Amino acid sequence: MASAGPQTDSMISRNGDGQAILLGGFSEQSQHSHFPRALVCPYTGANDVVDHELPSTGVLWACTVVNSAPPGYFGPVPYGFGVVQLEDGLRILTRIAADDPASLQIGQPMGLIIEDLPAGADQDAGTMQIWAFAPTSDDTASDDTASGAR
Amino acid sequence: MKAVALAGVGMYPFGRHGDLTATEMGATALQAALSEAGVHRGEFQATFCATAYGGVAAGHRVLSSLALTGGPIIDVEAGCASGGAALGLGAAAIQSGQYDTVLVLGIEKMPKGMIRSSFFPSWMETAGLAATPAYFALRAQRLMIEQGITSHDLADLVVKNRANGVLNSDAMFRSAVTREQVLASKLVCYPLHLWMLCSPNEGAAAVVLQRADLAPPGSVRLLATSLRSHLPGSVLDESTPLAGLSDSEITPPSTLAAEDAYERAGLGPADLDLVECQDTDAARELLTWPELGLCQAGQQAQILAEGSFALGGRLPVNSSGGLLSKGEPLGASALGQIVELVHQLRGDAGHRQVEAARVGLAHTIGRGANASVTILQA
Repeated sequence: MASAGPQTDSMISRNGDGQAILLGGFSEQSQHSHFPRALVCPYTGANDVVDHELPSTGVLWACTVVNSAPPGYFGPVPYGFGVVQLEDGLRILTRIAADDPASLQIGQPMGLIIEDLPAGADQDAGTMQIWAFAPTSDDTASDDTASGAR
Repeated sequence: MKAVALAGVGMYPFGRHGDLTATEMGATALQAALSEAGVHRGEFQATFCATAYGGVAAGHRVLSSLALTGGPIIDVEAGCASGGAALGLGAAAIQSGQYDTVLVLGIEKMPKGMIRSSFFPSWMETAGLAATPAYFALRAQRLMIEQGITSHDLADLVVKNRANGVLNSDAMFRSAVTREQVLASKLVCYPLHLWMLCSPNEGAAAVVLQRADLAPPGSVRLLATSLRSHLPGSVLDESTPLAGLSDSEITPPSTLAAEDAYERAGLGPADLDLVECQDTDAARELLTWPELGLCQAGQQAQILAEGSFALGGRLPVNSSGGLLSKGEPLGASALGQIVELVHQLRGDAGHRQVEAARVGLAHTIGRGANASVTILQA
């Protein structure tokens, strides 16, 4: 079984049902959540950050496809890459897990999953865990995003 | 405050130059600038050298190769705006009265292919979250959704800049292209095709700054230069955070720098005769126009169709051909814009001369985020 990479295991957890959860921070003073958890509120500097579990669902806000492997990446290509706006309004940068990411519509409902990726070029390099979002239904996109992801 | 003039400029053309080192390119550009200014060994007090990939004491290596060491030599790194940052430090030293003549240099020899930036931690590379063109692509997509830009507009922006590059002997790409050719070039990350992205490359640019009363007659004046970073919150700005908020209320760093520069220069966008602006990709230039106050958000398509920002239009933008024609050697690119403005404002820009050009603005935005805006006057 893959182990969470040391770099991301402070960002990813699972709840009692085994459901993936992203760990961020929240400031009472600024009323903003953020990701990953920071020393102070990254938007206002407020020094009252507490641990915060982010919503695991949202809608697609931007999406593209990476067609060739960028430097330092050993996973499959092409892969989807985009921004999902979570239910609390936080916009999170993420891999997009879909057979054809280019066909997704902006506004499409998305849900959190965890992907295992090779941590190096060698087979014995192990894997790292990373968050990704996948489409959760075939609902049509909202009206203001008719141009879609593609 | 002492007035600052650009007493001389020099370039090593941006491109791919085999085994030639950044030091050698920098020396050539610097010699040209010193020659124009009539400044010799012992006649300047400090050097600021912009570079992102140049390594330790890159500026020292250039000045050593020309036997010009002895004064302070300071390397400056501020992403794509490194040259703007170096220029600002040099100008401030003259304005304050500390020095009367300062060398400002930008040198770079970029690795080939997709830029590998030390800005990203290695786990983000492993996770596939460090694909630089993909960030550009997401920003382009939001621009299309929010400001009514189409793929045709992105292609037309490339057509505009490449047409100007044909007239620039220092450009890397000197052929005109059509909208159809741009859209037929390889799809890198939707909506960006290969020809909509500038090429990382190599080159150098140099400027001799001097107290205006000491500079050669007819030297171009530096009215203002400003460097700003991002305000937090925007998920797709050049600080590339992992998350952000609704960004409609967040002033982008290019606007912060532009407003500061306009105020200090005592003029506004309507006073400009030409602009060199960051066209890392086609969408970046279109996004920048309203950020600099050159037009309203949403007017870009009409401006492209009418040719208002093309050579011969009311406000030529990227008369040099921009980075889309020249390529982008990070540390040198911002000073390359300054070299173009100086030639235009002196009236020696040849076939791409902007008629009666008196005031020009140069803009860069990049990783950090860093944004620089410089305003020059004939």
